[in-house]
Amino acid sequence: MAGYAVRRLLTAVPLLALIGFGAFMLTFMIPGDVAATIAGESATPQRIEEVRRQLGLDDSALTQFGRWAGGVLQGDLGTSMIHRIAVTQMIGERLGVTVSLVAFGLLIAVLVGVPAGLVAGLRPGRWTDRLVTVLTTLGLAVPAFWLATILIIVFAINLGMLPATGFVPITENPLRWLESMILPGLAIGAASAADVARQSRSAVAETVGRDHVRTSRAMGLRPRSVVGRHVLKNSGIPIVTVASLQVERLLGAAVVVELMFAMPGLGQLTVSAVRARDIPTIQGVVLTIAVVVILVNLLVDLSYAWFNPRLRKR
Amino acid sequence: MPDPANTEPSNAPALTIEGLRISAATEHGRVDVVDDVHLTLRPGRITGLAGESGSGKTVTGLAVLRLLAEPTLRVESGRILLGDLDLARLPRGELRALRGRRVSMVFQEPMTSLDPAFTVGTLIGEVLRRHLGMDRRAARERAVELLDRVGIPEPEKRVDSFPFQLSGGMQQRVLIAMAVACGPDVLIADEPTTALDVTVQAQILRLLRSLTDDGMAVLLVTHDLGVLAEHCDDLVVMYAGQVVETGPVDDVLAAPAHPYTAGLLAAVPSTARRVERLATIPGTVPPPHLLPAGCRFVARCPHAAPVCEEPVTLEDAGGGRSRRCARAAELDLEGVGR
Ligand SMILES: Nc1ncnc2c1ncn2[C@@H]1O[C@H](COP(=O)(O)OP(=O)(O)OP(=O)(O)O)[C@@H](O)[C@H]1O
Ligand SMILES: [Mg+2]
Repeated sequence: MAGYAVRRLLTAVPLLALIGFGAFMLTFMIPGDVAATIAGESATPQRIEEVRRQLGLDDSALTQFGRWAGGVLQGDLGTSMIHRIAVTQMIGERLGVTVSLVAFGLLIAVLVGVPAGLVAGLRPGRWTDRLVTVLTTLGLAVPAFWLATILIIVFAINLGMLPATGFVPITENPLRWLESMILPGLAIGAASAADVARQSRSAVAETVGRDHVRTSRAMGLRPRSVVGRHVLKNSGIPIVTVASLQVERLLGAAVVVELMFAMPGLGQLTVSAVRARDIPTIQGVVLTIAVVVILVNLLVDLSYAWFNPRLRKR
Repeated sequence: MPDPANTEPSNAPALTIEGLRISAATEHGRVDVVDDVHLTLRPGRITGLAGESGSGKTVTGLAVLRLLAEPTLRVESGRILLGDLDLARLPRGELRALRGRRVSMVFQEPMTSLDPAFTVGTLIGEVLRRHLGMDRRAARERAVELLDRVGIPEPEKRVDSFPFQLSGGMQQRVLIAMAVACGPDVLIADEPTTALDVTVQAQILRLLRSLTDDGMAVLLVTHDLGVLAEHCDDLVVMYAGQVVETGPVDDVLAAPAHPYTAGLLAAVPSTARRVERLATIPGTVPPPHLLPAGCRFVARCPHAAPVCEEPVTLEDAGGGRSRRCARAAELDLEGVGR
């Protein structure tokens, strides 16, 4: 198992390098000129050229990449061209917000989706199954920004139960943190919960019909062992897979919802960086998200080996 | 003076099925797939359950443990008596406590019947912990003993294997170890050797035989009359959902009382010692929604007569035998000499 983990980790290295290169090159395709932005409205062409030279933007793409990659390897993502602050610092300040939000959305997705899928899949065709099908269809059809609007109107403005905007770090006040997470978490988590429920349902429905589940019943095991151990563990791979795919979906939804709830997360940072063509910041954000996604996939792959012992022997 | 009702404890049946009727939801509506099944399993004896495909052997076996795929399949009437408990009517919770402890079952496909996600030690241990309240360590030790008991070499090593690391024969032994872990009174074995190759088949059947030494009764479902002749004590023959003949294997094989049994014997070269006489029963089993009102075998029976159009019951023929044939008394059917 440990050997498997190490091997799997090593395969992530070239992938990361590739993504880093891609992220860097992508920024060359963004239209507009950061030097012109920094030099200001009334700058002369000479002035703009000077700024460009100062920023090192007149070097070849490969030289620029080498410089950037060298910094990344030392944990330096460069300096924001607009704010003149280290990119790592800016990302560090905002990563917590986005990670909180995505984790909260994922928690909702799993805590709602898996039990719903279990209830539906254990007895396909029953009214509970049909109810879950209707709710998942609905959940998948509702866009996060629309749900966020409704939630803000109902719970924040009309009922005044929860804050409409802002973010409180968990280290500062855990209760207020939770309050600030509920509405945006629900807004981005609903579609994911629906997706997780749907996949769990089909995985569970397939597993309960298997011979070995009949064996555990024939041995007199209690329903909670039959379902909780044998059915769930054998449905684990598709469920974990769909849950991990939610991380990407939630990251995307978080960008929008952070703006709506005025939460200082990576979403806000990305949008403002793209607007200002703040290339080092964009690259830093892309790389950070890539690392998060790769780590999630690594954990998921390791969990596969736990769910299916056959995979450990490779 | 001993009470005459229980002078011979070994003679008291381990399990009795009386008038079992099972229906299934099909495209032709709800039809009976098992009807008026009677059979008795005795301690320490292996009862073979034979019959062509679709005759209701598996459904009967599953009904004993109430493992039928409900609501498609449903027990309509009849009693399944384990001592004085009627398994067909027992509350679910009580039934679950009996499954695996007093009545157990092994299946045809060991490969798919063992949970691939757990080690065999965990699977066997789980049954022990559930019914005998053992802790993890005791269950594991007992699992090693059980693996040894069912003939698995190096049980201390094998206890940590996953099912996929074992051969089909070893997997079936593990399944048997799980089923007999708590020393059940009754073991239902639904074609436990069909998926295995011939040499392994014989080993598994000998293992089942050795497990009856402590008084366990076995219902061995099989297609193979050779297996019946060699490994069973009693025989139950089913046709189109009904029991058509029962009795001690040797007696039935020597002189079958039902034309269907005689036809089966003639059809199987391994029991009909005279291979040149190999024949098959002409025709096919009628589907459950097209059964005749009288004898269900009538359309294929070489001895059919007008009397066979009338419904016929399973009647006691003495000598521990019974048969469902209106003409049984007048027929002199050929068996196989032993
Ligand atoms: N889940 C089900 N739904 C509907 N009908 C069923 C179901 N299972 C079995 N049957 C029907 O019940 C009858 C008996 O089937 P069963 O599987 O008990 O036969 P069998 O004697 O075990 O046959 P085989 O030798 O092929 O295993 C058949 O007519 C079959 O079509
Ligand atoms: Mg069968």
